[in-house]
Amino acid sequence: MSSILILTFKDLTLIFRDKAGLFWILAFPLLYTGFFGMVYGGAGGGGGSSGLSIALVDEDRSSGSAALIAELLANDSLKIARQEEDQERPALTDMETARMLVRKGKRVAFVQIPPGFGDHPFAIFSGETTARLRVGVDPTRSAEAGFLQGILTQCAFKATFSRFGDRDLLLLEIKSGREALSAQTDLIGPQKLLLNGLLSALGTFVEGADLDALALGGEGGGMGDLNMMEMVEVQPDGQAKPASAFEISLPQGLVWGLMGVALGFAVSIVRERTKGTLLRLRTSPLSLFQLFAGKALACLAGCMLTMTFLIGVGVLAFNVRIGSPSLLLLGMLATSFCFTGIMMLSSIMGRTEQAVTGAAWGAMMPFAMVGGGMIPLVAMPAWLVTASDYSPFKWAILALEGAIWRDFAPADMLQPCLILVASGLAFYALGLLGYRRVDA
Amino acid sequence: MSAEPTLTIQGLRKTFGNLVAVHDLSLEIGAGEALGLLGPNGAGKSTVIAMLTGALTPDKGKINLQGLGSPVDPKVRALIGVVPQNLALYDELTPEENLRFFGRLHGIGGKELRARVDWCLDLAGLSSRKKERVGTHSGGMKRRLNLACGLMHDPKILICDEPTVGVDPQSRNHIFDSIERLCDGGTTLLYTTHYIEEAQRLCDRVAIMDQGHLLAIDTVDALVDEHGGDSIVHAELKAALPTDHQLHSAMQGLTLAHRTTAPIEAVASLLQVQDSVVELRIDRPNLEQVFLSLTGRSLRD
Repeated sequence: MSSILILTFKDLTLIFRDKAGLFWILAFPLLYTGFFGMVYGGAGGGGGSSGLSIALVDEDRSSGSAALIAELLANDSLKIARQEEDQERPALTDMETARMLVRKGKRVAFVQIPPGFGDHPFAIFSGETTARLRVGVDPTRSAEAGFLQGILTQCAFKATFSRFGDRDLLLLEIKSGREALSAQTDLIGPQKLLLNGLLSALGTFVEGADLDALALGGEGGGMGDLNMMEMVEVQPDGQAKPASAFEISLPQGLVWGLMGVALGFAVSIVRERTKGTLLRLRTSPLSLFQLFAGKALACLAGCMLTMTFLIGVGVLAFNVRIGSPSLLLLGMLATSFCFTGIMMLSSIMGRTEQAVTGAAWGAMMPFAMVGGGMIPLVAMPAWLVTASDYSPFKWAILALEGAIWRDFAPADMLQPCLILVASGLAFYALGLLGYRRVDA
Repeated sequence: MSAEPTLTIQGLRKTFGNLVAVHDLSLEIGAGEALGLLGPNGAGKSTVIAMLTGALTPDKGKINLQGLGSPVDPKVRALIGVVPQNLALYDELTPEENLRFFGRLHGIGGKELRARVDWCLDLAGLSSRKKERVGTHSGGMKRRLNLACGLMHDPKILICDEPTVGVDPQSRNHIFDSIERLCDGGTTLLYTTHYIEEAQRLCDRVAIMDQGHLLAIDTVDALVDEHGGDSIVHAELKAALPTDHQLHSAMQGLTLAHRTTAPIEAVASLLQVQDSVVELRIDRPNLEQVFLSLTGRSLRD
């Protein structure tokens, strides 16, 4: 083991004394993180949109729900998807889809208009409405939940006031009230008589009044909490939102740094061969296993050190928050393992340093681009997400994002980490087999 | 040569595809002996060294070091010090760091490591520049350090693969002096080169290889005697030789160029009849003639 550590220390010293190599390992990833973090939206939040995007579920399908939806659509603080064929009409969805959209972080909240919501439009004044709006907010956007509640209250009142212009609806409500009054058993005769007279007078007023002017009433402000909506919990499913765009660009920067480390060590293997130090090493009492174990351990340690440095800078300079340090360590280890395999495989892609550098970059670039090295995973179209499954870079980024901002549970980390470790083993074995061929 | 050879090679063969790099090579090197492996580029010298160091596995044949077995065994390899043809050094490390690294790989530590590093730095003449990165050193300094790195673990047998390629005369002499010191100290040497003068200066015996074949192996004098051909006696005279003199037929005007296997006798006979010799020179054959004689071409072709 001590021989392996001696080799590891030597290789780490060599890689970190190479100033040109250090640029690609440390400086370039930081530049990438900073630049693309700014491009994706900087520190202005992960939403990046001008309004709170909400999903609408209309289970009432009444004129009352239509009035509310019209108010929601008209509100500049909200962003509601429109129908493709009619941009004036909202794209309504079902409850299951709405909840999924919020859990996936694609909408800040959903608003469910339950059946019967429009039956008694003025019941909100009594606080006894049974068909209350149901609102589910993305737990990672809880700071915006209060703001959203305020907007919804405002819209609900505006929708209700707009219905004061509906003479038939008002008369129907008065008639309904008189019927309910006559069926009431708790009131004594004089009380019923008084209230019945009041409702008759109200009916006469409605029949003769200028209802359009009446409908222009208040904005709903200052009405207070009238128990018109119910907040429902939305369980996160590991698809939380990053606090800033740097939390997206940092994992990307990390994999570029790891590519630099892997390539640096791959070239060092070729350099050992071409310079003759490999012959000297093989003349030493070390076995071939120890030689490559030393190289692998150095690459693994190099990857870990590089990521530790870059993440440290990310936390201090870009205000990146680490969701789970322990899971991040797991993700870093699995990722380092995979890139160690990539290093070994890259080292046999040519017999000279130039050949290995060219071939390895050429081979890795498509995987890096498809795997999220250029386009963030969260912004990929569906087909690219499917294609990215075949790139180890995707799983590396996912494992790192999972620990940084996706709020992955340990079970969620299992898949990317296992894929990374398995890929690393396969690449390493292929590299060793190839080395035997090159060395023969 | 002692009774127990340090290195024994029997029927060693290595092929690369259709190319037979080494044909059934057999030889022995005694303890403290310096054997030169002489041959042009492509003769198979480096392949032999790669097999001797365990870096290549022979297709056939046996290698035995000090009766302990093949260099495939790490313990046996530890007896070997190698000085590769390339500058097998880490440019980003200092000479001291290079030496410490190779020493520690051989399990040397503590005071012994410090002592060996100092000894090697002194041997290479680099004590004053031990803290500067190797990348900043001249080619000659690197060559000397290349030799020193092979000696860090005090090997029983030192294998040098053309260790003076591209070296300035000063560094070349430094390397020769160092190797001669080692040989005087009892280190066994296997030295490959295509420079005849190096083999003649450093080696007790020389093995001549060409195209993977071992053509001859013996002391330089024996090789020259057997394969080098005649010596040539050159002379410039003031007067012509008598017509009955045995060398008369070799005269062209007042110049003599006489091929003979007995040059001393020829000179003696010349001086008996001629006391006015302007210039006299004997050209003895060397390994170049031996190689020419054995292969039909020059060593540097």
